[in-house]
Amino acid sequence: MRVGIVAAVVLLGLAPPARAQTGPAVAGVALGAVAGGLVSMGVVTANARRGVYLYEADPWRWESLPVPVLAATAALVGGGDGDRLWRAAGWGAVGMTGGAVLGALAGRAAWGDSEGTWAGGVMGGAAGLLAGALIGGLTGGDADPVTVSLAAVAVPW
Amino acid sequence: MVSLRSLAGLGLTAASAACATSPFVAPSFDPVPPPATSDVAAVVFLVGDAGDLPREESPVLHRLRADVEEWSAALPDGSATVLYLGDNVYPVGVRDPGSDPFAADSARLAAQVWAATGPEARRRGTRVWFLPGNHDWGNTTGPVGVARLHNQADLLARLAPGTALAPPPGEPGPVVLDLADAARVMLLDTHWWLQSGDEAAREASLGRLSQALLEAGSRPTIVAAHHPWATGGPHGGGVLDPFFLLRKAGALIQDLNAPPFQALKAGLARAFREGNRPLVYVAGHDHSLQVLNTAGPGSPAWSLVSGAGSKLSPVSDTPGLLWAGARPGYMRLVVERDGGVTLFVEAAPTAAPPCADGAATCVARTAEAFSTVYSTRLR
Repeated sequence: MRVGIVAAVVLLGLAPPARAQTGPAVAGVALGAVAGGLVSMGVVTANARRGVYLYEADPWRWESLPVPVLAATAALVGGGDGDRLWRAAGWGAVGMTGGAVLGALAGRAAWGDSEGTWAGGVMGGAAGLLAGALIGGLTGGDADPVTVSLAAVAVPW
Repeated sequence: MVSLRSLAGLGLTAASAACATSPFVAPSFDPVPPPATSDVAAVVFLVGDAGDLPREESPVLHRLRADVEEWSAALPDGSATVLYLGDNVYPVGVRDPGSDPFAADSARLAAQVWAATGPEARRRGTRVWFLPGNHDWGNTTGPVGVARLHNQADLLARLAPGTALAPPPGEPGPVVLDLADAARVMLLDTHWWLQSGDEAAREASLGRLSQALLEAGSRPTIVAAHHPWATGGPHGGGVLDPFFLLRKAGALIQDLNAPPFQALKAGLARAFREGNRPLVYVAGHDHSLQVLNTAGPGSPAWSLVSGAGSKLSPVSDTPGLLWAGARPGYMRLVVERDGGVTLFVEAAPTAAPPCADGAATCVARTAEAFSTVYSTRLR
């Protein structure tokens, strides 16, 4: 959760105040919402693995916060710098895929059942997505020292 | 960058393909003729998740009322039983008297009482039991949830003396019902199990269940609860919906994949092995009608899902699934004097439209269009 918020702040900081690009901004809303959904699932799954369960799949819970946060962030990033959005999305997809595979393997090893494998995959996919989006958003372009420093702070979290 | 975008698309496509599930296609079947009423010892109506519609919008309750009246009149006194299999009041059970939502909550429960307590049913002593579901608990745990159950039990006592919430609020059960010495029914509150950390109470409950199964002897036994033993619906994790990943990961406690749910099933399986395994395990929770053959060590011979009382959800294929339909309806178990048990599934036509806004003609027309869509001899 904290990583998601920091990622949002970092990517917001990277968006230059240039002229807005409507198409990438709209794409950013969609991509950010999907990414936020996966991050939310990662949070819910992590909570369940420590015995804290949702009694109902209610979208209006704090765990859903990454959806609007990442949607807004990606919209702003896309509106300011479409290339940066595509880089973040591409690397996010790579990170998600890699994280899901590694997470599934780790979940299988840790819990030894089908649910554990899926849980590891969901958590790993969410973490990989965030990491990949950060890397993609920070590489290339004109990242300023402040945002790079923020990203560095986020990593140990 | 195009290549990265393509990669992202490819990943999404692959993920979708991996998650794809196959919808269940109901096969044709040979209808079982209804037994002569003189051969019938008891009839049990199974209706689940009926708490989302008021009386004037529910074809299921209208059809059920007619069916209960017909069977109550045809059989000796006390031979018919109606089991509401939980989620009797959506969305969060019966809230406190005096609160704004209490009137709407009351109307939902009163509709189900009305369906099961027509003139013949009352005259013949038809028994009506309401099992607690997760929504009756307010979708929560502990004292807050138990308070909602007390509200429902108190309201039932006021609406129709003789109807009751079973097991009583905050107790796991089983409540044991003997149907004219022809069959034994055991009622459980499975949500109690999911939210309770009281291991001693869990063991005691399982011990009583095992004992009740043993003492049933050769009579057919029916275990009834809100949460299903097996299901091809969303709670079984086989339906592609927005919560698919969470369900597969066992992150939603109301799903069969969740570790607490698996612990519940393991406990029940142990009780079934120590006692005699039940002939039938009946439940709601998923909003469809399903007949599953779940024979195996520690499993009931048959598992039924009858949760289409007021909501509908899709069904995908799952091991043991013999028949399923996502259509409004309920089930009827007919117990014969020789110990035979036959299942009849009563449902609206597949294309029946929802009857919103109290469209009386729509409700009446749909209720009349109900038919026996599946039947089979369970024993």
